[in-house]
Amino acid sequence: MFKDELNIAFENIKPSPELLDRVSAMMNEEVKRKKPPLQMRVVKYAGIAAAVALAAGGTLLFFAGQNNGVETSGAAKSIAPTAVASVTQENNPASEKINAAVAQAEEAAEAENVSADTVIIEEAAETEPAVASEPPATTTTATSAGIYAGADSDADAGMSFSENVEGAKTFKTVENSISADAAPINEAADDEAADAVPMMIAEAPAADESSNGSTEDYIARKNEEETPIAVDMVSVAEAEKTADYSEEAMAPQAVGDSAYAGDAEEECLEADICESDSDEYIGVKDIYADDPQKAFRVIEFIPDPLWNSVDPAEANAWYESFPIDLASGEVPDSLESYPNVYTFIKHFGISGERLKELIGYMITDEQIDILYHGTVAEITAEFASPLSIVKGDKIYSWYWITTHTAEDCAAVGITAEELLAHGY
Amino acid sequence: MTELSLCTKESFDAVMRKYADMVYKLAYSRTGSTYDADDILQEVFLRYIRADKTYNDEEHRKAWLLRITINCTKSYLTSAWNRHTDYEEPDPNIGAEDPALKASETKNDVMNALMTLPEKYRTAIYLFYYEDMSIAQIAKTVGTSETNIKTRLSRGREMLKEKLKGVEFDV
Repeated sequence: MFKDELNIAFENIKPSPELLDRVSAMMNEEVKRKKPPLQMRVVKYAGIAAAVALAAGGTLLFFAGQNNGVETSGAAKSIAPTAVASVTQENNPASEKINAAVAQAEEAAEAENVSADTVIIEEAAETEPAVASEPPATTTTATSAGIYAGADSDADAGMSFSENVEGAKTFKTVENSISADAAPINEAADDEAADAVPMMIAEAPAADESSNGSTEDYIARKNEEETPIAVDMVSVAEAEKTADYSEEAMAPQAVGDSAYAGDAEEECLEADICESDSDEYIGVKDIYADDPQKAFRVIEFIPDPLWNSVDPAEANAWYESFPIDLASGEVPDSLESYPNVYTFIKHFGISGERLKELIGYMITDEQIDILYHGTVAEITAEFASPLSIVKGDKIYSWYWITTHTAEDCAAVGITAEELLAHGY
Repeated sequence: MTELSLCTKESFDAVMRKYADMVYKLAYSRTGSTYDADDILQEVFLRYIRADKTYNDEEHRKAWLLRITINCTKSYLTSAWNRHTDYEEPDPNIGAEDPALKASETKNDVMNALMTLPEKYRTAIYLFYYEDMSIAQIAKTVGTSETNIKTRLSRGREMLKEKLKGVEFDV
């Protein structure tokens, strides 16, 4: 059965172990590139937490001044213990309340089985940063990469998230305090927390990038950039139960007199590489045939059915007989100077009928007629790619033009107007 | 969360090793070149990591990888410059002492015949017969209608029957 033979044919087509290792290494590099190092994440989250603490501290000071005994704000409850431990606030009677809020946050984190940082981050994302009426008397500022959502507001409040020297020094204080005083970091939990962090914190785009909508919209757009059509396998399986795959059901619908006059109109996978076989295209578009960077359309490459119609050794010998070395990057400038469909059929004496038989799916009768009865100049003009510039029997492809100087172009008669007209 | 989580590098590696064969074979069937298949394999899994999607199940992941492989081969083929043919004739001297390869004159005939098909027919034939995908699955993966897939399979079989005299198709 064909299926069995196909299995045998592909048995030895597999990636080598070396290739798999190479791909694995590449993937590791990509993962590392995406995920910041652990220390950076700790410092980042501590910075966020410290910023929240400062904002909360400012609010508490305000309320403490207004009304002693007021309950700590929601923001104050979201204070990292380690960051708060390193924040020094002069004459702040609310520090004990902050510590109590810290303890509550830790308990909440334990109950939810996430790191306290995750709780902090999630709450920080949801909580409007408080703007103090007057700058708090604090000796600590936090330096972050600007990813804290409330950075601008806090800057208004007189707290600096810039990369100024003073901020960097005090941030170092925070960092050192964290390393000295913090509980041992649970790397696995931190990884989990890192991965659980909403993207709006870890990878939030700059404001102008997300100007089309919320960060959720941005995330959704990014996820869909290479998302194929979702495959609903359950409904597919159901449909399969009643599907009819007999020869009669699967026979193509005849279109006119030729079964190859074109498939039904198809959706394109990619708009610029449309494979539709509708009649508006010249023949069936061969995937190799219409690369505009090549000198010619249709006849540039020798399709397999044509190549395989002659003895392989003779075909290879014929290919090697041309002085031009395509593999090294030499660029041909005329139809007869390199291997292509035209030179192939001339050398091997392939008739027009035979050519149609072999590659009729990619070339029209009119094109075959020109190929066999036209002059070199006529064939060149007929099959020239859109980006090629034809000069009589000569053709200058995109590849030729982009690898030669303006003087070279002028030397062969290509004018600036022609270059402009062809989009160069 | 499926067994192969997407969140750690170990999982990415496990996914790659599980599906590398499938991606490679599809890339080869479309390009006819092991060199191109090598490059496409890397490109597919690079895109896989960067997409960093979650999947409903393994079938969903598989379909996504197949689709990306098809997209990658398209891009690759249209940028090829130094090719006179899209199919590497297997070197008859490679593995000449290997009984499995010696017995694979049939393999070469089938591979040769398959590679003479237009690329769309070849992909449909490959996914249907080698990957055991249904018409509906192939249609969704490739991004076209079931009618078109049926047409491509039918025409592909006709062309193969001409080249492989006496071969039987099990549908």
